[in-house]
Amino acid sequence: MVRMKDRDKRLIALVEAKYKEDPDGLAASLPGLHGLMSAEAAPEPEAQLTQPPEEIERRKAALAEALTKLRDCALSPEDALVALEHTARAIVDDPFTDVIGYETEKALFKRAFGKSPGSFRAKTTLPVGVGEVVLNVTVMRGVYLGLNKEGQLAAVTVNPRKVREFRKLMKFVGGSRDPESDVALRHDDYLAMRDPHGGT
Amino acid sequence: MAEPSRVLVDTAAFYALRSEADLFHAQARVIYERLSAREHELWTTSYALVETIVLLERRLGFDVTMEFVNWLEDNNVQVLWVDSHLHEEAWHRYVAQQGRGLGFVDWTTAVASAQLGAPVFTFDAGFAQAGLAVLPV
Repeated sequence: MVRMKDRDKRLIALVEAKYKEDPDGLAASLPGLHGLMSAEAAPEPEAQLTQPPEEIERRKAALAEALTKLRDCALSPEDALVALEHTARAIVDDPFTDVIGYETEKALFKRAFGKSPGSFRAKTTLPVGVGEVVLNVTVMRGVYLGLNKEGQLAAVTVNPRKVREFRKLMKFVGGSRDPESDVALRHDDYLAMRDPHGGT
Repeated sequence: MAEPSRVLVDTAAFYALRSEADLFHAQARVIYERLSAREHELWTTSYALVETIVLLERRLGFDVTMEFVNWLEDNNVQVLWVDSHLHEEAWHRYVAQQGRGLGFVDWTTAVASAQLGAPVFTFDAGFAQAGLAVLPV
Protein backbone atom coordinates (compact mmCIF):
# COMPACT_ATOMS: atom_id res chain seq x y z
CA MET A 1 0.00 0.00 0.00
CA VAL A 2 2.82 2.38 0.95
CA ARG A 3 4.67 1.41 -2.21
CA MET A 4 1.58 2.23 -4.29
CA LYS A 5 1.38 5.65 -2.70
CA ASP A 6 5.04 6.30 -3.50
CA ARG A 7 4.46 5.23 -7.06
CA ASP A 8 1.43 7.55 -7.33
CA LYS A 9 3.48 10.46 -6.03
CA ARG A 10 6.25 9.74 -8.56
CA LEU A 11 3.73 9.55 -11.38
CA ILE A 12 2.15 12.87 -10.36
CA ALA A 13 5.58 14.50 -10.11
CA LEU A 14 6.48 13.19 -13.59
CA VAL A 15 3.25 14.54 -15.10
CA GLU A 16 3.75 17.90 -13.41
CA ALA A 17 7.33 18.09 -14.70
CA LYS A 18 6.17 17.18 -18.20
CA TYR A 19 3.43 19.85 -18.02
CA LYS A 20 5.87 22.55 -16.91
CA GLU A 21 8.45 21.54 -19.51
CA ASP A 22 6.15 21.17 -22.51
CA PRO A 23 2.49 22.09 -21.90
CA ASP A 24 1.68 22.12 -25.65
CA GLY A 25 3.12 18.63 -26.08
CA LEU A 26 0.97 17.36 -23.23
CA ALA A 27 -2.08 19.07 -24.76
CA ALA A 28 -1.44 17.30 -28.07
CA SER A 29 -0.88 13.82 -26.64
CA LEU A 30 -3.21 13.84 -23.59
CA PRO A 31 -5.72 16.70 -23.96
CA GLY A 32 -7.86 15.54 -21.01
CA LEU A 33 -4.91 15.52 -18.65
CA HIS A 34 -3.72 18.87 -20.00
CA GLY A 35 -7.13 20.41 -19.27
CA LEU A 36 -6.98 19.10 -15.74
CA MET A 37 -3.46 20.43 -15.19
CA SER A 38 -4.36 23.86 -16.64
CA ALA A 39 -7.36 24.14 -14.34
CA GLU A 40 -5.21 23.17 -11.38
CA ALA A 41 -2.45 25.58 -12.35
CA ALA A 42 -4.63 28.62 -13.12
CA PRO A 43 -5.07 30.89 -10.13
CA GLU A 44 -8.63 31.82 -9.22
CA PRO A 45 -8.72 35.58 -9.80
CA GLU A 46 -11.47 36.12 -7.24
CA ALA A 47 -9.63 34.02 -4.66
CA GLN A 48 -6.50 36.06 -5.36
CA LEU A 49 -8.41 39.29 -4.81
CA THR A 50 -10.15 38.21 -1.64
CA GLN A 51 -9.35 40.71 1.07
CA PRO A 52 -8.64 40.14 4.75
CA PRO A 53 -11.36 41.55 7.08
CA GLU A 54 -9.26 44.54 8.17
CA GLU A 55 -8.68 45.54 4.53
CA ILE A 56 -12.42 45.25 3.85
CA GLU A 57 -13.09 47.60 6.77
CA ARG A 58 -10.38 50.02 5.67
CA ARG A 59 -11.80 50.23 2.15
CA LYS A 60 -15.35 50.58 3.47
CA ALA A 61 -14.33 53.53 5.64
CA ALA A 62 -12.37 55.10 2.78
CA LEU A 63 -15.38 54.72 0.47
CA ALA A 64 -17.70 56.32 3.04
CA GLU A 65 -15.31 59.25 3.32
CA ALA A 66 -15.13 59.60 -0.46
CA LEU A 67 -18.92 59.59 -0.73
CA THR A 68 -19.16 62.36 1.86
CA LYS A 69 -16.69 64.40 -0.20
CA LEU A 70 -18.68 63.63 -3.34
CA ARG A 71 -21.84 65.02 -1.72
CA ASP A 72 -19.89 68.12 -0.67
CA CYS A 73 -18.49 68.50 -4.20
CA ALA A 74 -14.98 68.13 -2.72
CA LEU A 75 -13.90 64.84 -4.33
CA SER A 76 -11.07 64.99 -6.86
CA PRO A 77 -11.28 62.90 -10.06
CA GLU A 78 -8.29 60.85 -8.82
CA ASP A 79 -10.04 60.08 -5.54
CA ALA A 80 -13.22 59.22 -7.44
CA LEU A 81 -11.23 56.55 -9.29
CA VAL A 82 -9.95 55.15 -6.00
CA ALA A 83 -13.53 55.11 -4.71
CA LEU A 84 -14.60 53.16 -7.81
CA GLU A 85 -11.83 50.67 -7.03
CA HIS A 86 -13.20 50.31 -3.48
CA THR A 87 -16.68 49.51 -4.82
CA ALA A 88 -15.25 46.93 -7.24
CA ARG A 89 -13.39 45.20 -4.41
CA ALA A 90 -16.51 45.21 -2.24
CA ILE A 91 -18.47 43.55 -5.07
CA VAL A 92 -15.76 40.90 -5.53
CA ASP A 93 -16.08 40.07 -1.83
CA ASP A 94 -19.88 40.07 -1.90
CA PRO A 95 -21.71 40.28 -5.26
CA PHE A 96 -24.89 41.40 -3.45
CA THR A 97 -23.28 44.05 -1.26
CA ASP A 98 -25.35 47.18 -0.65
CA VAL A 99 -22.22 49.29 -0.24
CA ILE A 100 -23.30 51.73 -2.96
CA GLY A 101 -26.39 52.50 -5.04
CA TYR A 102 -26.71 53.00 -8.79
CA GLU A 103 -27.09 56.78 -8.81
CA THR A 104 -24.13 57.27 -6.46
CA GLU A 105 -22.01 54.95 -8.59
CA LYS A 106 -22.98 56.98 -11.64
CA ALA A 107 -22.05 60.22 -9.87
CA LEU A 108 -18.64 58.77 -8.94
CA PHE A 109 -18.05 57.74 -12.54
CA LYS A 110 -18.99 61.22 -13.76
CA ARG A 111 -16.63 62.80 -11.25
CA ALA A 112 -13.80 60.50 -12.35
CA PHE A 113 -14.23 60.91 -16.11
CA GLY A 114 -16.09 64.19 -16.50
CA LYS A 115 -18.96 62.53 -18.35
CA SER A 116 -21.68 60.02 -17.60
CA PRO A 117 -21.43 56.42 -18.86
CA GLY A 118 -24.52 56.98 -21.02
CA SER A 119 -22.76 59.69 -23.04
CA PHE A 120 -20.26 57.29 -24.63
CA ARG A 121 -21.04 56.56 -28.28
CA ALA A 122 -19.14 53.30 -28.68
CA LYS A 123 -17.67 50.62 -26.48
CA THR A 124 -14.57 52.18 -24.95
CA THR A 125 -11.79 50.98 -22.67
CA LEU A 126 -10.11 53.68 -20.63
CA PRO A 127 -6.71 52.78 -19.15
CA VAL A 128 -6.55 54.29 -15.69
CA GLY A 129 -3.81 52.35 -13.95
CA VAL A 130 -1.02 49.88 -14.40
CA GLY A 131 -0.89 46.16 -15.03
CA GLU A 132 -2.97 43.65 -16.90
CA VAL A 133 -6.67 43.29 -16.12
CA VAL A 134 -7.30 39.90 -14.49
CA LEU A 135 -10.90 40.51 -13.50
CA ASN A 136 -13.66 42.78 -14.77
CA VAL A 137 -16.24 43.72 -12.17
CA THR A 138 -19.66 45.01 -13.22
CA VAL A 139 -20.56 47.98 -11.07
CA MET A 140 -23.25 49.58 -13.22
CA ARG A 141 -24.88 47.89 -16.16
CA GLY A 142 -22.45 48.42 -19.05
CA VAL A 143 -19.58 49.71 -16.87
CA TYR A 144 -16.84 47.23 -16.07
CA LEU A 145 -13.99 47.98 -13.70
CA GLY A 146 -10.86 46.03 -14.64
CA LEU A 147 -8.70 45.03 -11.69
CA ASN A 148 -5.08 43.97 -11.97
CA LYS A 149 -3.66 41.05 -10.00
CA GLU A 150 -2.94 43.35 -7.05
CA GLY A 151 -6.62 44.28 -7.00
CA GLN A 152 -6.00 47.82 -8.22
CA LEU A 153 -8.05 49.54 -10.87
CA ALA A 154 -6.24 49.16 -14.20
CA ALA A 155 -8.90 49.97 -16.78
CA VAL A 156 -12.55 50.91 -17.13
CA THR A 157 -14.67 49.63 -20.00
CA VAL A 158 -17.95 51.25 -20.97
CA ASN A 159 -20.49 49.57 -23.22
CA PRO A 160 -23.12 52.25 -23.99
CA ARG A 161 -25.62 49.72 -25.37
CA LYS A 162 -25.66 47.91 -22.02
CA VAL A 163 -25.73 51.22 -20.13
CA ARG A 164 -28.93 52.20 -21.98
CA GLU A 165 -30.59 48.88 -21.10
CA PHE A 166 -30.79 49.87 -17.44
CA ARG A 167 -33.60 52.43 -17.84
CA LYS A 168 -35.58 50.01 -20.00
CA LEU A 169 -35.28 47.27 -17.38
CA MET A 170 -36.51 49.58 -14.63
CA LYS A 171 -39.67 50.42 -16.62
CA PHE A 172 -41.74 47.57 -15.17
CA VAL A 173 -40.92 48.68 -11.62
CA GLY A 174 -43.80 50.62 -10.07
CA GLY A 175 -46.55 52.05 -12.24
CA SER A 176 -49.39 50.14 -10.56
CA ARG A 177 -51.10 50.56 -7.20
CA ASP A 178 -52.92 47.59 -5.76
CA PRO A 179 -55.50 48.82 -3.20
CA GLU A 180 -54.04 46.27 -0.78
CA SER A 181 -50.49 46.60 0.57
CA ASP A 182 -49.89 43.00 1.68
CA VAL A 183 -50.36 41.16 -1.61
CA ALA A 184 -46.68 40.26 -2.10
CA LEU A 185 -46.47 38.77 1.37
CA ARG A 186 -49.85 37.02 1.31
CA HIS A 187 -50.02 36.16 -2.38
CA ASP A 188 -51.02 32.56 -1.60
CA ASP A 189 -54.11 33.82 0.25
CA TYR A 190 -55.01 36.26 -2.53
CA LEU A 191 -54.62 33.53 -5.14
CA ALA A 192 -56.94 31.27 -3.14
CA MET A 193 -59.71 33.90 -3.15
CA ARG A 194 -62.61 33.55 -5.57
CA ASP A 195 -61.75 34.56 -9.12
CA PRO A 196 -63.44 37.91 -9.85
CA HIS A 197 -64.39 36.53 -13.29
CA GLY A 198 -66.67 33.97 -11.68
CA GLY A 199 -64.37 30.94 -11.41
CA THR A 200 -63.02 29.56 -8.19
CA MET B 1 -15.14 38.99 -16.41
CA ALA B 2 -16.41 37.98 -13.02
CA GLU B 3 -19.20 35.46 -13.44
CA PRO B 4 -22.59 37.07 -12.82
CA SER B 5 -24.26 35.44 -9.84
CA ARG B 6 -27.63 33.83 -10.32
CA VAL B 7 -30.69 34.96 -8.41
CA LEU B 8 -34.01 33.12 -8.33
CA VAL B 9 -36.96 35.52 -8.26
CA ASP B 10 -40.09 34.54 -6.34
CA THR B 11 -43.69 35.64 -6.94
CA ALA B 12 -43.60 37.94 -3.90
CA ALA B 13 -40.63 39.86 -5.31
CA PHE B 14 -42.16 40.22 -8.78
CA TYR B 15 -45.38 41.56 -7.29
CA ALA B 16 -43.69 43.91 -4.83
CA LEU B 17 -41.66 45.34 -7.70
CA ARG B 18 -44.79 46.31 -9.61
CA SER B 19 -47.24 47.55 -6.99
CA GLU B 20 -46.14 50.87 -5.53
CA ALA B 21 -48.62 50.41 -2.68
CA ASP B 22 -47.00 47.20 -1.52
CA LEU B 23 -45.27 47.16 1.86
CA PHE B 24 -42.15 45.76 0.22
CA HIS B 25 -42.10 47.91 -2.91
CA ALA B 26 -39.27 50.25 -1.86
CA GLN B 27 -37.08 47.36 -0.72
CA ALA B 28 -37.82 45.37 -3.88
CA ARG B 29 -36.91 48.37 -6.04
CA VAL B 30 -33.54 48.87 -4.33
CA ILE B 31 -32.61 45.19 -4.62
CA TYR B 32 -33.75 44.85 -8.21
CA GLU B 33 -31.88 48.03 -9.16
CA ARG B 34 -28.72 46.51 -7.68
CA LEU B 35 -29.21 43.16 -9.40
CA SER B 36 -29.92 44.79 -12.73
CA ALA B 37 -27.03 47.25 -12.43
CA ARG B 38 -24.56 44.44 -11.66
CA GLU B 39 -25.94 42.29 -14.47
CA HIS B 40 -26.89 39.39 -12.25
CA GLU B 41 -28.48 36.44 -14.01
CA LEU B 42 -32.16 36.40 -13.07
CA TRP B 43 -34.08 33.13 -12.95
CA THR B 44 -37.55 32.04 -12.01
CA THR B 45 -39.37 28.72 -12.10
CA SER B 46 -42.26 27.88 -14.41
CA TYR B 47 -44.50 27.43 -11.35
CA ALA B 48 -43.62 30.85 -9.90
CA LEU B 49 -44.13 32.30 -13.36
CA VAL B 50 -47.66 30.88 -13.59
CA GLU B 51 -48.40 32.07 -10.07
CA THR B 52 -47.19 35.59 -10.87
CA ILE B 53 -49.12 35.76 -14.14
CA VAL B 54 -52.36 34.71 -12.41
CA LEU B 55 -51.79 37.14 -9.53
CA LEU B 56 -50.98 40.08 -11.81
CA GLU B 57 -53.93 39.37 -14.08
CA ARG B 58 -56.36 39.14 -11.16
CA ARG B 59 -55.06 42.12 -9.19
CA LEU B 60 -53.72 44.52 -11.81
CA GLY B 61 -55.24 43.39 -15.11
CA PHE B 62 -54.31 41.98 -18.48
CA ASP B 63 -52.20 44.91 -19.72
CA VAL B 64 -49.88 44.77 -16.73
CA THR B 65 -49.58 41.01 -17.19
CA MET B 66 -48.51 41.49 -20.80
CA GLU B 67 -46.07 44.16 -19.74
CA PHE B 68 -44.62 41.70 -17.22
CA VAL B 69 -44.13 38.95 -19.81
CA ASN B 70 -42.47 41.36 -22.24
CA TRP B 71 -40.25 42.68 -19.45
CA LEU B 72 -39.14 39.13 -18.63
CA GLU B 73 -37.98 38.76 -22.22
CA ASP B 74 -36.20 42.13 -22.26
CA ASN B 75 -34.57 41.23 -18.96
CA ASN B 76 -33.51 37.86 -20.32
CA VAL B 77 -35.00 36.23 -17.20
CA GLN B 78 -34.29 32.50 -17.45
CA VAL B 79 -37.12 30.11 -16.69
CA LEU B 80 -36.33 26.83 -14.99
CA TRP B 81 -39.09 24.55 -16.24
CA VAL B 82 -40.23 22.32 -13.40
CA ASP B 83 -39.89 18.70 -14.51
CA SER B 84 -41.24 15.57 -12.84
CA HIS B 85 -38.05 15.12 -10.81
CA LEU B 86 -38.13 18.65 -9.38
CA HIS B 87 -41.89 18.40 -8.83
CA GLU B 88 -41.55 15.12 -6.89
CA GLU B 89 -38.62 16.37 -4.84
CA ALA B 90 -40.63 19.46 -3.85
CA TRP B 91 -43.67 17.30 -3.09
CA HIS B 92 -41.62 15.03 -0.78
CA ARG B 93 -40.36 18.03 1.14
CA TYR B 94 -43.82 19.56 1.35
CA VAL B 95 -45.27 16.28 2.66
CA ALA B 96 -42.38 15.85 5.10
CA GLN B 97 -43.30 19.22 6.62
CA GLN B 98 -46.95 18.15 6.66
CA GLY B 99 -47.96 21.35 4.89
CA ARG B 100 -46.51 23.59 7.58
CA GLY B 101 -44.24 26.49 6.60
CA LEU B 102 -43.61 26.79 2.89
CA GLY B 103 -46.36 26.01 0.40
CA PHE B 104 -45.88 23.48 -2.40
CA VAL B 105 -44.97 26.06 -5.07
CA ASP B 106 -42.49 27.57 -2.61
CA TRP B 107 -40.88 24.15 -2.20
CA THR B 108 -40.38 23.94 -5.97
CA THR B 109 -38.59 27.30 -5.70
CA ALA B 110 -36.52 25.96 -2.78
CA VAL B 111 -35.42 22.88 -4.74
CA ALA B 112 -34.70 25.02 -7.81
CA SER B 113 -32.63 27.37 -5.65
CA ALA B 114 -30.42 24.47 -4.60
CA GLN B 115 -30.14 23.23 -8.18
CA LEU B 116 -29.08 26.62 -9.49
CA GLY B 117 -26.96 27.58 -6.50
CA ALA B 118 -28.93 30.83 -6.38
CA PRO B 119 -30.38 32.79 -3.46
CA VAL B 120 -34.11 33.47 -3.59
CA PHE B 121 -35.26 37.08 -4.03
CA THR B 122 -38.39 37.03 -1.88
CA PHE B 123 -40.23 38.62 1.02
CA ASP B 124 -41.55 35.34 2.34
CA ALA B 125 -39.74 34.68 5.63
CA GLY B 126 -40.48 30.96 5.25
CA PHE B 127 -37.57 30.55 2.82
CA ALA B 128 -34.99 31.77 5.32
CA GLN B 129 -36.64 29.71 8.04
CA ALA B 130 -36.23 26.67 5.78
CA GLY B 131 -32.50 27.39 5.65
CA LEU B 132 -32.32 28.89 2.15
CA ALA B 133 -30.09 31.78 1.11
CA VAL B 134 -32.35 34.75 0.45
CA LEU B 135 -32.34 38.34 -0.73
CA PRO B 136 -32.87 40.59 1.14
CA VAL B 137 -30.73 38.98 3.83
